[in-house]
Amino acid sequence: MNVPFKHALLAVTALSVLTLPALAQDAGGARSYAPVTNDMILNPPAEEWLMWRRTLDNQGFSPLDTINKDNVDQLTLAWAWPMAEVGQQETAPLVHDGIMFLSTNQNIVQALDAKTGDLIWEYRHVLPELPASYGYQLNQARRQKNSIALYDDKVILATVDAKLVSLDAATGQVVWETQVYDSSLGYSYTVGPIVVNDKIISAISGCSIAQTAGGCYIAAHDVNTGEEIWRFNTLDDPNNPEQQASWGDVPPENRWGGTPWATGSYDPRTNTTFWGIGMPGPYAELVRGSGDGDVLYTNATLALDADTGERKWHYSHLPRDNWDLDSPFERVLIDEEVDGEMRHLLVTVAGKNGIAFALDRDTGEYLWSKETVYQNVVTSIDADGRVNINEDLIPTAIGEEKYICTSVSGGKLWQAGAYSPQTKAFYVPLTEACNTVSASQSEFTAGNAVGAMRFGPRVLPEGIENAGVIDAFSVIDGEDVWRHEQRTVPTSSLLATAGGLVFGGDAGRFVKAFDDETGEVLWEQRLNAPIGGHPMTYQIDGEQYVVIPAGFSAQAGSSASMYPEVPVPSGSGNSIFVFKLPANSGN
Amino acid sequence: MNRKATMLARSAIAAAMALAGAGHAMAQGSFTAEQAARGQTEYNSQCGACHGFQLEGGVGPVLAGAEFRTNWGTAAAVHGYFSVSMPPQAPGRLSEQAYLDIMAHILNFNGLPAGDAELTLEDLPSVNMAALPEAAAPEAAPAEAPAAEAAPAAPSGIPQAYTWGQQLPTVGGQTAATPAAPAAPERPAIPQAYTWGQQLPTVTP
Repeated sequence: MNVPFKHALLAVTALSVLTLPALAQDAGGARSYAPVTNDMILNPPAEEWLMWRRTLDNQGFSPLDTINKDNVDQLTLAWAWPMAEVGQQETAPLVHDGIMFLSTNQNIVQALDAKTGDLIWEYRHVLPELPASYGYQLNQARRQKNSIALYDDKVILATVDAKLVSLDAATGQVVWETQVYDSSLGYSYTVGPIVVNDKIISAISGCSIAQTAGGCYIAAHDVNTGEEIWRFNTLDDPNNPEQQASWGDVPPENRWGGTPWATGSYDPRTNTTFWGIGMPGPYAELVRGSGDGDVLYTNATLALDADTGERKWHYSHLPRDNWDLDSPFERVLIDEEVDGEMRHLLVTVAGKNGIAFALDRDTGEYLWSKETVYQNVVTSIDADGRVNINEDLIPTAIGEEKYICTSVSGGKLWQAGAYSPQTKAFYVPLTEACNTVSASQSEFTAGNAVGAMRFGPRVLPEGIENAGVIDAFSVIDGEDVWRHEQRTVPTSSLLATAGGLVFGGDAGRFVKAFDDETGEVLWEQRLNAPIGGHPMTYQIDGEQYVVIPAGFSAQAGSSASMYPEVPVPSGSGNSIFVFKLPANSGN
Repeated sequence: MNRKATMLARSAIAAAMALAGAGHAMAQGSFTAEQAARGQTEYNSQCGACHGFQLEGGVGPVLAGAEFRTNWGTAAAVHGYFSVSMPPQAPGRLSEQAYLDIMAHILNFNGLPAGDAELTLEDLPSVNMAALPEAAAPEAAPAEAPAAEAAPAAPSGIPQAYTWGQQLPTVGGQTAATPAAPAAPERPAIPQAYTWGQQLPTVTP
């Protein structure tokens, strides 16, 4: 049986790149593909969606307005497609040259005809088998977000087993792949890179898994060869004594976390890349051993030189985190006039506690902040931007319960907000929730996380009945533009368009289009599962399409106790739904 | 105390913690085989699709093994969480008995053998999750509580917290560290918290 089995394995490997055009058409019949140029990356065509948030500034805004306030209520289903894998629905479809690139869990990538929904090719990454006891590490494969980026005639894929892979965009064939980190230690990409100026700039996850102690990285690689150009360690910066001192006596080999688990942004004007950084591990300083230190660069924004990886500045959004209130979320770059002066802003709801910040992105100077949902961990923010925390909420004994708002599920989570330059408003999906936390002490095991904290059920803050919030506020001063509240929590990223619309969806399976000036719901459609991933839009032959992912949502499940009257489906149903206007709608 | 001496002391305390923890397990499971079987049926129907039929996890977290058992304190904490928040399609809506039966199945799967009396709400705070025997399939569960077999933490190669081996203050049903074990085992190779092995302050219930 040995030989046939080997042959079968080879056959499976060969089939792992399924090239349908080669089967369906004459020899050499792979569909043509116009390369994505660096100029396109810096200034993407309005009709296309080339990267996670469409532009390197992470705004999540489309200039398309064929679908607008007047006709959005006529949207109809063009086509739908099931995802190739189960797990959390966090996909971020990309579209270029009429092809949709769809990545999902376990690093399956598909190319679809964006107009018809026909499959062009499928790539299945071969992942190493892990022991069943590696519970946390195994879960990383089921929470793959925007794993892909487009550049030249390639699809760049960041994988669960810590590889960067370059695929031929026309065929799905592997051009090169490189093992960036040792995945046997727990390293794993859960978010994709940005690619600009021939550099892949990426960040690794899995840094709260025991064996990865002491190293969590943002790095740059040559897009043509996969060769590493630089890497920056968020847990151990030899060039900054302040960073080392902020961990107290804790040496790098006992530091975890610092994971940049949302894709960064890039400013070509200053050649700077901006990344949000996650929480420290273990979560409680009682167990961490770091005393009252700020534990840099956890919960910070890092501004790095894109050519060298050198730190330009950092800003701490939540020093001395004791509650897993992660602050890695999207850093959005916006140029607007503030008090008569053009400011180069970085706006972000950085962390789970939902506090919005505006910084000067050239200097890291703090400009303003605003609370969006109820939180009890930050007591004040000084004029110079120093964030002060409520020290009464720091666990002082193992098993001691503290009541923390927001909850470990946020507040804010990975679901990205969107900015509209038309309204100068930032739209953010949020959750009102609290939970109890208590620190635990246990021996860390291979493949598992070092949080050493347990969390109680999510509960609504006292006096609040609506768990779900879409908050719209001005990026000039943080003033509210509108606020939408509802029982169920938002479970997808938001999409803002020049049609005056903001799209997003919730645990109750409704996708909604909001009026970007008033928050009025102009269209809603109930789908098969909680709305998920990153809604996006594109246009082909004058027809605008809106893509809405739906499927399994961990937030919908963990928050379900706050809105028991809206049952969350037990089936996962991971799919994308593609909407457009009817043919006779007069466009 | 120099760093090396600190490490040795921590290791000794860590080893003692493992021993002390084992002693906190219930002498016999306070659930019956019938209850665990009912719980398994209920679990397979309500929980298995997300958490795995071997409790190995899926889109939901793992419910067996060291990470699960050591992070939860007592069975009351586990039960207190899932009996109000799970399953997502009907949070808190199963019967009180069903949640208890599922808890019995989880305990059984994690190696606690069945006993003569059914698990009740009153029993939950006294079940120390961290002190359960090694996870095992129900069929493979040992006939007697193997608490006595628990050994000091072996060098695992996995990094540990900076506090590894320190006795940290404790409250509630957590494994309390016991200082001054005579042996000085190697610092585990798996990284541990900086505070590992310290006796951290604890709240008494």
